Amino acid sequence: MNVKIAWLSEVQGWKAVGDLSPYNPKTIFQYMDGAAEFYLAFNFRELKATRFEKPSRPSIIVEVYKMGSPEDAYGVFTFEQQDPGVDIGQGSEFGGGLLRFWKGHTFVTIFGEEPGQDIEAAILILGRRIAETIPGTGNPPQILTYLPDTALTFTKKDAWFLRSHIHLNQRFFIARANILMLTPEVEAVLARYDTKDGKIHIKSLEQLCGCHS
Amino acid sequence: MKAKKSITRRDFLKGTAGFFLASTGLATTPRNAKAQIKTKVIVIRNMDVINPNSEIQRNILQTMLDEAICRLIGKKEPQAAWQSMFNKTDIVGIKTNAWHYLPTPKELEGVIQQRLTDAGIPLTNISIDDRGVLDNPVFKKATSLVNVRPVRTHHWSGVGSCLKNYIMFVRNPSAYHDEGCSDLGKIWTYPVVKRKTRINILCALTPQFFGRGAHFFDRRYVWSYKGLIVGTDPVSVDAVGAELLRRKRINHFGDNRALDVQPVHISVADKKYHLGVSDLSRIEIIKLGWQEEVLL
Repeated sequence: MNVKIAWLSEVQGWKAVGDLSPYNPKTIFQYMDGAAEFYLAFNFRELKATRFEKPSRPSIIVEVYKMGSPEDAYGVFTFEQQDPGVDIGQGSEFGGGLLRFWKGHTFVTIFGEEPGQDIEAAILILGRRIAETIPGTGNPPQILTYLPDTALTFTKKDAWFLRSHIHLNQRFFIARANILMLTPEVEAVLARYDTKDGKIHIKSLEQLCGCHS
Repeated sequence: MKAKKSITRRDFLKGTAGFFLASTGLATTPRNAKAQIKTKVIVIRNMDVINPNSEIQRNILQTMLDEAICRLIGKKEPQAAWQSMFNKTDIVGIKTNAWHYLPTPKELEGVIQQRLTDAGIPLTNISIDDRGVLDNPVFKKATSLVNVRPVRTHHWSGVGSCLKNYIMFVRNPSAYHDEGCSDLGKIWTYPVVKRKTRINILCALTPQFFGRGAHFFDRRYVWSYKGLIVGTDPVSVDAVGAELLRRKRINHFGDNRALDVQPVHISVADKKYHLGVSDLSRIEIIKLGWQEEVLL
């Protein structure tokens, strides 16, 4: 997959100072060490990172991830989602100087190294422009539709699309071993509902064969 | 009429935190536990070590490290303290941490290197490295190590700790990520590092107390604690560092907000690999310098 995204050379005075070579599944560790595993678990394909600099201002770092599918891009985005959306891409959040969004197969992060109104404005402009250049969209994982939203009365719901038992255990511990046999080819969803009777956790798995359990 | 004493939120947090720690066997130094104290950890702070422009004041940092080392080792002069830990013939690797968003400050690396040269070790026998340690010629023949890194939350291990800092001494770090990186202590039993570490330093100048995923730094959860946590026992240093972050979360959120992963590797390093003491009730925390909101 080599989906090209038109890069901006400058935004609000911040200039791209040179793209880092695209990283693939074998080389991504050089860029981010152990954090790479998180993306690999979601069928990571390629990362392109660019630094934007402006004299006397903090830098902006743009990372564009090509994932295996829109479901994977959605999974990466939602696993760490915690801030309000800003209507960029198919799902977005912005807080602490970090913009994250997904669209189609692509997941994007844009981070300002220090706070500031001007840098945050530049981040949002960058995000919108990059989103516009990403061709196509994609659907969130169909497995999410299996969740019993209409059968439960709840006040709050969190749902995570997963492919790794390590990530599953971070949200709801099952077992040390990968007893559910999660792999990059398996789709799983974990949902947590806050109800008047307490929290309810629901897990669902789907193998590539389409069997639902 | 005598004014009714009101309980502040700080009082309440101290009280409930103490109850929580006692109920989990992690209480800090009750009187009858003094006989069981086995390790010592120094927590030193200085309110001026970071200036209003967020610049680290190297001279103040040097003074902090000197005082911590002297108090830890029991010497009056820094040079004597460092010479008691290192020989002139030692080849020393300073294992630092280069994580882009919160690296070991260059100023701290510098003051450590300075004290090693003051102790008589030639500069050519000292190296500062992180990701390249396995191929670094000085580290390859190192007889001693200094372990130094910033304390922060960590996506895989719960806390970026002294124990975690040695993961670069293996060729396959990802093999140690399972179960919250519980087996990090095993790395410390390998010949490349076994029994070489003379001092462990958690840089707590600007710790990060809450996580933001595998790859991101969230400055909303960073604060200027302006401290160093120093000890010879890496497990004890990490236990104190993890506790500092936990208390900061309570102070900030009003509760101990759950991390992605609990730092179980610290207690495993104690119970399974016998690398040190993780039980806070058996650690003497000596607090030096600036005490405002010390949290510990």
